[in-house]
Amino acid sequence: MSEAEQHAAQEVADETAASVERYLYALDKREAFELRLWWRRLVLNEQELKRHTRQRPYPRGVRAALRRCDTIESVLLTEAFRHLWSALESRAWQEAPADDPRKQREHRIETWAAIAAVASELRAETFDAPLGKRLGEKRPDTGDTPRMSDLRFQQLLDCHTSQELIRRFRRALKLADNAGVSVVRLADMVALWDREQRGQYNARATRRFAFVMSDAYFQARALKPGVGD
Amino acid sequence: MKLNLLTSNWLPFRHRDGRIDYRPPSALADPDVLDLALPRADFQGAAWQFLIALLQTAMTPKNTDAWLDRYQTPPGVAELDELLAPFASAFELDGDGPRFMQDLDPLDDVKDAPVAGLLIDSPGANGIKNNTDFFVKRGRVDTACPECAALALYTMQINAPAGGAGIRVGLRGGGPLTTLILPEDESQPLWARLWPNVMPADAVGQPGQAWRAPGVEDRDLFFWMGDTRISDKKGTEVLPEQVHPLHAFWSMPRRYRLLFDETPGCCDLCGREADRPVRHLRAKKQGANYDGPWRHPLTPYRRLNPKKLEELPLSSKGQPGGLGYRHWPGLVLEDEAISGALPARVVTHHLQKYRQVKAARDDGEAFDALYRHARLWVFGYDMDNMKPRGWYSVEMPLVGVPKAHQETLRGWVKRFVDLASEISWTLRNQLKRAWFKRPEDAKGDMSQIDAQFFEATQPAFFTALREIGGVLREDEEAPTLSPEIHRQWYGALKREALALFDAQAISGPLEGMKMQQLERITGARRYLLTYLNGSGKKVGKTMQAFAEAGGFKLKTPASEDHREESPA
Repeated sequence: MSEAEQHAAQEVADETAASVERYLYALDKREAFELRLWWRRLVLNEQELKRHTRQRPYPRGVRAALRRCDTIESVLLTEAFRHLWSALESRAWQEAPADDPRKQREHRIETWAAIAAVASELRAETFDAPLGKRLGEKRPDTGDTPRMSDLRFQQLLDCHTSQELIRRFRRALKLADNAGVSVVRLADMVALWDREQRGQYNARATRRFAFVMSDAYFQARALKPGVGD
Repeated sequence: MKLNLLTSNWLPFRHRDGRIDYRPPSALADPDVLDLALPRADFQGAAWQFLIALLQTAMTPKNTDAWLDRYQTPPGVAELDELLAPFASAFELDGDGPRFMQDLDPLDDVKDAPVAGLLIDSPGANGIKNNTDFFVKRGRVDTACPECAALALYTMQINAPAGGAGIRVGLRGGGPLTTLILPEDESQPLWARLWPNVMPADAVGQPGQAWRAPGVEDRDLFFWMGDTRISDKKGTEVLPEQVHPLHAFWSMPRRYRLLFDETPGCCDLCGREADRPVRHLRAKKQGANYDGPWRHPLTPYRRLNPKKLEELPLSSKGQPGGLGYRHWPGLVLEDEAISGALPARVVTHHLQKYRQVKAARDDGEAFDALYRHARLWVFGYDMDNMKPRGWYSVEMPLVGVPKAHQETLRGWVKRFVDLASEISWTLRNQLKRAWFKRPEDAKGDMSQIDAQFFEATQPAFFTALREIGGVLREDEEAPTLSPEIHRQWYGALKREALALFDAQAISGPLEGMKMQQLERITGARRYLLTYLNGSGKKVGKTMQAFAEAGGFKLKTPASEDHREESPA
């Protein structure tokens, strides 16, 4: 590593929560920041990772083990999840007491397990791009078909268990070519869904899971061909 | 004891300490009296007009100066009693002589009818026969005390709807609106709230009417003091120039005779016991038939076609959807040539009074406050022919500005109201788009959306209006309205439009919805947001134009988007 590179890396490593997406529905910015860092170490190769942080990627098998899990319980036992959880937890220990009480969200280990299971499928991300938008875009080499059909999308909105959610979100990501989505936005949707499963609906309907997802989906679908790309 | 409407204790007054006492009308001069307290909203409005009519009759000031003198030195109760005394014989409700607002003829040739017929919200004889009194029910009022009967009679005579062949409509048309001027300060005694609605002798009449002092025997003033002007053939119409200038306050289109019962009973309206209640009355067709260019001093009118001056102006009426600030210009700003708006003469005169007393400003301080901080109380029935759909009563600010700035005021207010109307239109259309597969074919009454939108944005409008008034009263050569006022108005409209859309279109669970439905809802909302943000070349035009006229900048779409979404 040249000196200049090292310098740049150091600068990036000091990157803070300010660099995450602006408005989040269910995550806070620190959580989003930790998640993105964890995901990069999980997915990116050494070269790519260097651009963002001085930290090292996790060994290859770590991601593979996580991807093989399709229940919350099995995710909890993976090394990958342990990394994510300890990053979030250490932050919680350090910051929670002094923090704004409103931000002291309860740490739901199951929520984060679902997030980990889904996020591990994403191969490359696009900053700020929501999943719904990606799914509503035209499938390459077709006339007017979206990446995900209406019917499938409707099922995606109507998950009732974490297992169902993991399966459907992973399938959705596959249709999205496992790319073109922001990992933070993705996790934010999982967390929002999870919150609503516990009956905590946002008072404003426009900030609920089904609306946020379908608004992005139909916005992308409404775009005229050629404009979207 | 027989009821005399000038000397008996018959009107319920609310006093400063909250007590309600029945007293004669002269109690209005008691500084402890704050308001009337009638058992029904339409009675309340009528009783106010009754007192104004009395003041107007007994003590019409000569001119604006005399009016102002009185405003500063109110009469005492005894003085008012004295002023009213000469008219007492015209205000007997019962007896063999002339009876207040009743036919001189005993009407022995007609059948007795229930007293409920005096109430506008009672079903007609036909409705009862056909069993169609679904919402307007029969049988609620069988017995009325003489006091309530008197007010019901007055209410009917001043608001009378056309009732079919020969059953005459009131002087200002059926179910007219009334606009009264109230001081902003609610702790003012009743006197100070009634007197602003009294006009001086040189202004109260209409063209063609010559002022003369009112007298109790004047049959051109009180029709009931003489034989009824029967309207059974052409040429019997009552025109403004045939009567006393104050007759508009005492108009009498209907022929009634109250029948007093010797069996005591409990009044179904106010709940009090009455020795001689009214249970029946006689009503006859072909009372005074008002025609011609009547302009009741307390009622706003408008010209349907401002270009055709030969057409008679029509009184403004209550309409479904209520009264809101979109009606404000028509109720306050005279604009005969363009929109045809003719505010009540009392309002127009009040706004001009300022100029007339300006010279004597030193002693006009009390009036100055009234001019700057007054409210307009608008009330009246919403009638569907003979059937009342509702009663509206709204208070709005009354903004007085120097004459030179009237045009500017109208222009600014129009700009603000127009923006609200345009947004309301788009909101309604987008809601339709969200609700229906084929919105263009969707039928149904969407006026509820407009009503909700205007109601929600009303406080913001009146705040803006006060500021507009403040700017124009500075009386500068070229007054300007700050961008901030524009921006706040725009912000309030946008906020309320989105809130209303969300509440109407997406308040339920979305998970189980069909995709087509979700597509419609999200699409309509995105359109609305683009429109309101003023982004998008064509869609955002309206907002861009308003922002440019107001001199403020619309936020860039991206940041605005999140601002709107971010938690408060």
